[in-house]
Amino acid sequence: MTLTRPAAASGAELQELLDSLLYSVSHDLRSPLLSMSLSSELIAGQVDPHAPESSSATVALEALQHGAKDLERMLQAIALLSRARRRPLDAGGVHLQALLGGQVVISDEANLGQLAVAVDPMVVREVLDVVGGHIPLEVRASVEERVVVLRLPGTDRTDALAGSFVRAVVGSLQAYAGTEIERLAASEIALTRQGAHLSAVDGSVVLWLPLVEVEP
Amino acid sequence: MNDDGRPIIIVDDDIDHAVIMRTVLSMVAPGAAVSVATDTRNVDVQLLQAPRDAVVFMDRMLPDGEAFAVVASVSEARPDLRITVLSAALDDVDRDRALQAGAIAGIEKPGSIDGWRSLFRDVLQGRSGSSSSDGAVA
Repeated sequence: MTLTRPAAASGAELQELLDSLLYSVSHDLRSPLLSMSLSSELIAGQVDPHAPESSSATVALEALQHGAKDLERMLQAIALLSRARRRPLDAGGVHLQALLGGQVVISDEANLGQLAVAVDPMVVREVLDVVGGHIPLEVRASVEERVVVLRLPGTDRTDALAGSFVRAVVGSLQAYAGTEIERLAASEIALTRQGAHLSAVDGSVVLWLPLVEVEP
Repeated sequence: MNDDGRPIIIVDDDIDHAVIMRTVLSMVAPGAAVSVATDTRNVDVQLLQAPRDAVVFMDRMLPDGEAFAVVASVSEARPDLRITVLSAALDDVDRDRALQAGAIAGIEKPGSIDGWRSLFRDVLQGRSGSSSSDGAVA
């Protein structure tokens, strides 16, 4: 009997399957985790409040709750990265003046504000919020060929990194889930989808945004 | 609290979740009539026979697929029912889908008992909208 070898999945199909897996993991694993977390809380409500902290029940409950919270933190990180792959993006073009309004911009480019980049402004603002909170940041801007380069100050955690935030999270979910590195990884995914780039370079957080012509 | 005495229906094939939800509901609305549907096959038929003005908490994933089509058909046939779609992971796209299907809210299942208490209070008191994972109203 001759066996027909099935056609291999294309790269795009495999990517779509991996995206679906990422989404399924964040949903399907969270369901039983919720049962554990919530059940441990309900049990904690039944434990004698006067029991010594060293009692087996108290120790076991605390371990259960800590473990569940840790898992929840890491699953939320996976969910965030999955959403970054799926979120709708509006990359019609936004002027830098609007994009960087409120920041302290340092640049040799005379008409920087009039330049426009083809990225969803919400994604860039999310990066600015992660790095600076609601405090204006010192942003060093330059233009290289058809790309605007924005250099932002780093944070304590980003200072210790070089390169991709996604790679950092993939390398250690335990270390970076729930931190600004996780949110920057999500932003990196969204920016990469739009032909832009985000990376940690020499203690700075750097964005490369493609220039585009738009109506003034 | 469920001041107006609306019956409450939990639709979730995860028995553990359903029991936990019923337990928390008994804390938030101790006098409410709460029924649980864990066999969610043909849930649309079950809901068409629901008591008038019931509040429905429905899990997004049903054995036959996502609940949005069921929400849409039940909402049209029974506009008196107040349906909230719940899920272990729910993004903005799916929240919008829930609202467009006729649900009053799409909410990610909270990770704490307090989060569930807030969620139930908000929905039962008519303060629901799209919501975060802690049940806080946006």
